[in-house]
Amino acid sequence: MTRFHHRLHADKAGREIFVEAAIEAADSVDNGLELRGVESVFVGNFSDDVFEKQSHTGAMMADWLGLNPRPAVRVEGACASSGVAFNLGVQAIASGLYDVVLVGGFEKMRSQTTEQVTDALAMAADAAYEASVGFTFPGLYASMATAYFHKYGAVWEELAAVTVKNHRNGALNPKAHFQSDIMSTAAKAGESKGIKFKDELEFLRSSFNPVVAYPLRLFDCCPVSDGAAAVILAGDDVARKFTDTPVIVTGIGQASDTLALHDRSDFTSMRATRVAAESAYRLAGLSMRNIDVADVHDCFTIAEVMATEDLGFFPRGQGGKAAVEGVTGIKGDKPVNADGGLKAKGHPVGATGAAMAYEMFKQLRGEAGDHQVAGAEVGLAHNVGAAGATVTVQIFRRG
Amino acid sequence: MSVAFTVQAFNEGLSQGKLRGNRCMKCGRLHLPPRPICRGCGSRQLEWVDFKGAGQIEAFTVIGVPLSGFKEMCPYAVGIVKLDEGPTISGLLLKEKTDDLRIGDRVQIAYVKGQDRTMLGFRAA
Repeated sequence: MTRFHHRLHADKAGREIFVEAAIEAADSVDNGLELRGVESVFVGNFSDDVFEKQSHTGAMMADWLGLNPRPAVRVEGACASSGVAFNLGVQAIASGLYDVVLVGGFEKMRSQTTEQVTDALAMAADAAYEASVGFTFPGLYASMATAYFHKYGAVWEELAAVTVKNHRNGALNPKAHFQSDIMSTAAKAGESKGIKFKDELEFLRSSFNPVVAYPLRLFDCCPVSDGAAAVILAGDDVARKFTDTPVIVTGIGQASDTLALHDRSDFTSMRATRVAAESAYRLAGLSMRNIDVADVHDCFTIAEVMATEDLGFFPRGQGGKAAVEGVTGIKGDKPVNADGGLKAKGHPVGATGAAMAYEMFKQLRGEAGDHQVAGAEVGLAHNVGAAGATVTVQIFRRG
Repeated sequence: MSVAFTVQAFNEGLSQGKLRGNRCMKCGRLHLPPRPICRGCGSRQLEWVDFKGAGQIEAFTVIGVPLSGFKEMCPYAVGIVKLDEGPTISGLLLKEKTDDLRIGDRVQIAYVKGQDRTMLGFRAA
């Protein structure tokens, strides 16, 4: 995967960062893999139509990777686009049609203003019945947060614990968009105005952290990033040709839900996450207790809290407390988003699901560097489209 | 011939001061906005229903970074209201001061005239 960043890829087009990620994937194969050995390509992308005025990006990537006439498709499931692309790649191999496929995703968002990005992201919600009354995408998650606080008596400080943890993790990940923890960020921000913050919460409560959609502040939201990620999938019977230490996909799941948040019976939990996870756990023959490391979809801090409950890691209403108590830290009992999560690693929408698979590959081979979870053997990736209308879950095991 | 259950028909209802959804004639489930297929039983036999527009706030937010079409209103509150008839729907929450909104607050429908359309809103009952 490329580093996720707001400036680094300013001079490159989407196709160029995708090719960069695909080349890294192919070149990192232990026993070598010619890109030409890829039989089909699945490209996750949310909105290049808007961001770069470019559609038809499946064929474009096959073209730019020198793979014509092999089939390629662009997959769109909002922020879960490449989580869906990944599952389709697994299904294509399981069908027996292909031995080797490339799945990935990309998004080039930073050519747009904040207002244009806000408008584009709202397209993933229900344009006719949500955006029409002024709901922004952060606004939908903010509404989940007010409902969650009300139901469980939870407080914003629990969300702040997610922010602090994920920025701390991002500082350990060279691919992350933000590579500084909250105290370093606070020190730098305060310097210009001669302010010294005594702790993270003082900074996060300050005017340096304005409200985007109450109760969510800027640091409750993932950044707008450019980036691409890609992984190679190979069938069981050929994988050992390429490496002695493959990472095995042992379970996948996907579910849908209503596009409009208001059409659901519960705003504090995502049914699609529960259904997708149930499928992945069942196929893998594992339960939440077996998961050593997880990347969950934290586009907003409240999303991580809800995800850790819906995946079964913690009881309902306890996800925030788990973050406060350090249970989800890299050295905690249930490490979540050791790579910084969307919150600090960044969220080039269409690249995120593939970047989670990339992270699991590194973690389970013990190659995650400074953010390695010690001894991780089983990992889980959880990718959410918009406010939970598309969700994918994958379970991985060290081979 | 009856009017199709479309976004356009729903919006025309709003412009006439009506909150219109539909009811499944097989299982009785209510839908707001109207849908072509019942979410409960899959039936395609549905009939129009006018909602009274009274209900309570189930979830809300106050937007600090708005959509391009809502800049002049910012900051504004928006949320999800559970109507007394059962269904929940998104709407603007009209309030002078947005800092004392509470989940459970009783609200009543307000039709908010925009430049070229009428938006669904609610104000304190």
